[in-house]
Amino acid sequence: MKGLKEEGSKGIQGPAPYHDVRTKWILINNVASAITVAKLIETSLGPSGCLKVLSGMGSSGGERLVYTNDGAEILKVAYIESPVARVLKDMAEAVDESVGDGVKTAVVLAGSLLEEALNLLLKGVRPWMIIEGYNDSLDIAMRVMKELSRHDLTVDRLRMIALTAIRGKGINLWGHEERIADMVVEAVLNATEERGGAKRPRLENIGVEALDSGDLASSQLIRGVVTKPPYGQEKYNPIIPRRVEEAKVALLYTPLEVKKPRIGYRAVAAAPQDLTKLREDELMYLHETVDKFKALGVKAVLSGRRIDRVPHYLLGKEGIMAVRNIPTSDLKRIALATRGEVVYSLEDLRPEALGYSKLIEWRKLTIEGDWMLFVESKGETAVSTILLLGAGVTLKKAVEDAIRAVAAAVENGAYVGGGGAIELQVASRLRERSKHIGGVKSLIMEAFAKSLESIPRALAENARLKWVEVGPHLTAAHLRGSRSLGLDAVSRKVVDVLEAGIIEPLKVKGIALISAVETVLSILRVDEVLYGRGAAICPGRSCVNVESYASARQLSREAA
Amino acid sequence: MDLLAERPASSPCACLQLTDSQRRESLSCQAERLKILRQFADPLGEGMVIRAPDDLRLLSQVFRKGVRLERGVDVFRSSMALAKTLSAIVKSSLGPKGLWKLIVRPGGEALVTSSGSTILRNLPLQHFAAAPLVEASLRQEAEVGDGTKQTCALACELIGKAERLLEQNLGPSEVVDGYRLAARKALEVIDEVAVRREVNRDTLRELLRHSFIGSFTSREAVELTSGLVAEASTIAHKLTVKGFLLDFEDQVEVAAIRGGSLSEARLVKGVVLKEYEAPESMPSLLRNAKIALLNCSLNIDRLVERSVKLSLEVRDYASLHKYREALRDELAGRIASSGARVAFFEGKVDEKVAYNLERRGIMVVEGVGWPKLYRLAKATGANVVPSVFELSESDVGVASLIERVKLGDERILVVEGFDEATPATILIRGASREACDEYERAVRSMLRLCQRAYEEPLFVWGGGAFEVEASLRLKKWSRGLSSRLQWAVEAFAEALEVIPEALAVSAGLDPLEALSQLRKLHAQAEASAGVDVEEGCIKSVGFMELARVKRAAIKHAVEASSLILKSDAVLYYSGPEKGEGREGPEGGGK
Repeated sequence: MKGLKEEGSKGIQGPAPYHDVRTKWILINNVASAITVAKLIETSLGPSGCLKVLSGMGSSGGERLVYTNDGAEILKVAYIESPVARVLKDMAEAVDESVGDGVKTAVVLAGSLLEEALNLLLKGVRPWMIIEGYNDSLDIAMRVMKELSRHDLTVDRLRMIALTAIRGKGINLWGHEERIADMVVEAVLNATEERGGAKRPRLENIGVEALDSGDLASSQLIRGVVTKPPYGQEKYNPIIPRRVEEAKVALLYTPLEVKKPRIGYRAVAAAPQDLTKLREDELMYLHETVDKFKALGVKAVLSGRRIDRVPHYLLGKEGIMAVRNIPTSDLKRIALATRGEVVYSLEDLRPEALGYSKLIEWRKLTIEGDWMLFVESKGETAVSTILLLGAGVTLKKAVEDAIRAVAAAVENGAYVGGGGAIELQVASRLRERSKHIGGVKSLIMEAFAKSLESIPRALAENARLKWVEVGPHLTAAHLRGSRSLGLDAVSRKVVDVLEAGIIEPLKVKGIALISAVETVLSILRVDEVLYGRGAAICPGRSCVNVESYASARQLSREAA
Repeated sequence: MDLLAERPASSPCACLQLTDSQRRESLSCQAERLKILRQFADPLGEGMVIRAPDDLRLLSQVFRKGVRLERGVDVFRSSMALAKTLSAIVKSSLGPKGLWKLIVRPGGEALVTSSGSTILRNLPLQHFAAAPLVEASLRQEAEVGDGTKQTCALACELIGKAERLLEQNLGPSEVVDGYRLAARKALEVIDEVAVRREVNRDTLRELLRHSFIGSFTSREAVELTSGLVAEASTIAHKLTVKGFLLDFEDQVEVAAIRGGSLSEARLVKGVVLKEYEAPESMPSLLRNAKIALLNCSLNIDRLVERSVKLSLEVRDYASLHKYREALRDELAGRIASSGARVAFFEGKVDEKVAYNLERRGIMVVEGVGWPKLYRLAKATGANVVPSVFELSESDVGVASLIERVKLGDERILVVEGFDEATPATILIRGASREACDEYERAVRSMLRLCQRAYEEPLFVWGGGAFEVEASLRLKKWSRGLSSRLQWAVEAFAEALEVIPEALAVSAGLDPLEALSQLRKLHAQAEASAGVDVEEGCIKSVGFMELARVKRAAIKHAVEASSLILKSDAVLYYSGPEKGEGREGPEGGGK
């Protein structure tokens, strides 16, 4: 053992002389810290979930204040040090990246799975048995979920998926939820490509822009691109048009200026008079460039690079709108929206490379807001932008999550009931199955079933429904054969979720469940925590050591 | 936990530190928790402790040293304490007879103000719940320009009213849902009671006078400023292109100049330059002068070097010198041949060229920022040209008047245009820098309010009349609700009455009596009965407020209060050293 460890790194000094008890100790501690984190997230689950305030945390530190009920963000910003709790945080980030929605579900599930595992551990069940049992239960659960999932996706159902995702964030939308859900569905369907029977929504074609102020009612879906290029002082210049209609567009990714050769090139002037010639040549070059645009009939030049003052002025004089410094990703979407081509050198500028746009305009939608460039496409294109007013960051995140949820549903084609219905159904199936198995495994399966119920339980409790009343009613209904009875946390009622339109894509639910179980298993597998020399935390704080052992002893003595 | 940052005892904010009782309370809470913990101790024998997830010690294991967690009742209680403090501060400065506040800033600098946003922005608030409340007020100011104190007072009252609801065992999410429901209904009420009125110079002046009378020291000052802003707004409105939001603030600029009194304020139909450099010989008054605008600098060395990396093989320095002189002549000649009488440059101009031009009777004004150049372009019809070599006669515009004025210790240059489209400037004066800032902000808010008035000319009765009416209707409506949310809706209706109550107090009336009288009058369908603060009585008020202001205030107040009420846990991080000593679980146990 000694040879294995690097000198200076510390192992854990377990309190008991023999290995088994020590393992149990470490396991219990690990599990307990993960549960702590999960419990913190639990009250944020669902539409009536609470927010968390994180003060003085985050990279900028100091005065930063975050109000959020976004699971991934809470875990990311809060200073979590315990290595085991960090595993949960990593899982939350992974779920957030892959499906967006379902982060809190996964964390809460993981927490309750661990809680049940802890109880089993205390009863003397070995970790490997739990691992095996959980694995088997996961298989069954996934099979049941697939079996229960539905495939009759209509636009209306997609809209409900979007609504469920948006409502799940608990944001006040002043009654505009449905409009926003419509926008989300339209944008996703718009961006969906059909190739060989498979539908693939291309999410990079959808943009979401959120403005803090303004009226939510005037949020809209724009067929085209909305972009906010930095430093656009020229839009105040009266000579440069702020709006062009039915315009041919040149898309550039090359600076429009007098070419400045890099090192290794030197112009030599023999006499001062040559300078005049040189200057005239330079101006000539700019005039020629502008004439080229004019000859092509271009009415707007949109560039991802800089445009010098002189060409900008010359273009403006010709009535050509010019915008510089457009972010690259937006420029690509503009190219798609206008069916143009981004040109990397002015020599490549041909008539075929030009795009066509119905309307290009600088708009300032709210008094204190920024100017934004609207590029609207002519006819049908895959590119659309959801413009949200009076919303802020939280709604933007909610809409982005809804977009990804709808996209997951479109791609996968399957959805299941939300509001805890699917979890209840899977749990009741597992319970039934466990009765036929017998042995410790049936205990573990039952524990798995019980922890699945933590989702409807948390939903109910957050919505102030008493689980002791609602829970048995729901479980009994599911045992009797109801498949879709669940909770509507918005109206605080027990409803048939499929009828009420509380549905979620199978992919989201599946990923949440799989990641939760995998994480739990990886935590249960750990029997020893080794700290490297440079570890940021000191051993003994996150794990048991002699002192806490002693103080625990003292506590127990006092209690006695 | 401190509500406010640590301040010297002499500061006016020191009296607001009502935290000691709270700290004691939270300590006793921790002791309670430890007691519960002990029951968890040692279920396995062998001295092992299984801790409940709420265990503070376990929390300290999960989070970095110095992180402390506050949850549940503690959070609500401390936000309520903050709400009460803030509402006391804000309520007393509500309305035309609202009192001003003196805030001592960290450097010892004193600030006297009546503006809600200024008060909130400058209070050294550290409590987590302060940020959304301040944010709500600032957003209110940015959006409609008025009603910042109303917003804050309403939000605080909503939080305060939630205390009873939570005691009645309503969940925070139910309270928030109820408030949101009520707010949506309140917005409907606004639509029902709002009156469409014609907006013109007089109605605007009246609106501004009533909304901003508390922000100025004298009645004359507010009359004068309201008149100026109303006039500027009517001009700006004429230019508004339909469907395109033309910003009034884009069109009308506010220039505050220190010294003098507000009574010297005036409206300039043109551009006022505060930062510029002009030759001494420039005449103090020019009429119908042609002007050229150039957003570049004139530097001979850079013109010679060019943008190309160039090495000039000079054998004859004299010829180079001659070339430079010739270039100067050419530049001056080009500017002169454009016919301009005054040339405005964004950057610095070569001294010799400037001198050359001066001799030809052409004035060079240097160091004019690009926003001003573009405003000048709008005013005079000139083009902003990026290079002297591109300057032609067609780029030159005409200013009807260029005047150099000395105001206080500042020399300003006034350039007036010809037509109505000329961007206007409201010149205001203030005794000190703070006063200037304050008035400037007030005038900006006024402009914003005018723009909103034009966009949506819907009005509701002022003086708290609208709030009483809305409260009455909401209460009636809430009776029809069958869910537990009814209670929250009713609480919202009651919270609305904080505005007339505060107004009654500032008018010297007994708030209870005033409110009961108002309720009675409104029940008798007298929708315009309100508190006339200036006359100090309850009667049918003659002035109206913008419906938009009320709508925004309700929205912002509900958003802020629901953010605070919905938070059930706060994680603080205050650095490793400080956090350890303060809130260790052992410390709580002893």
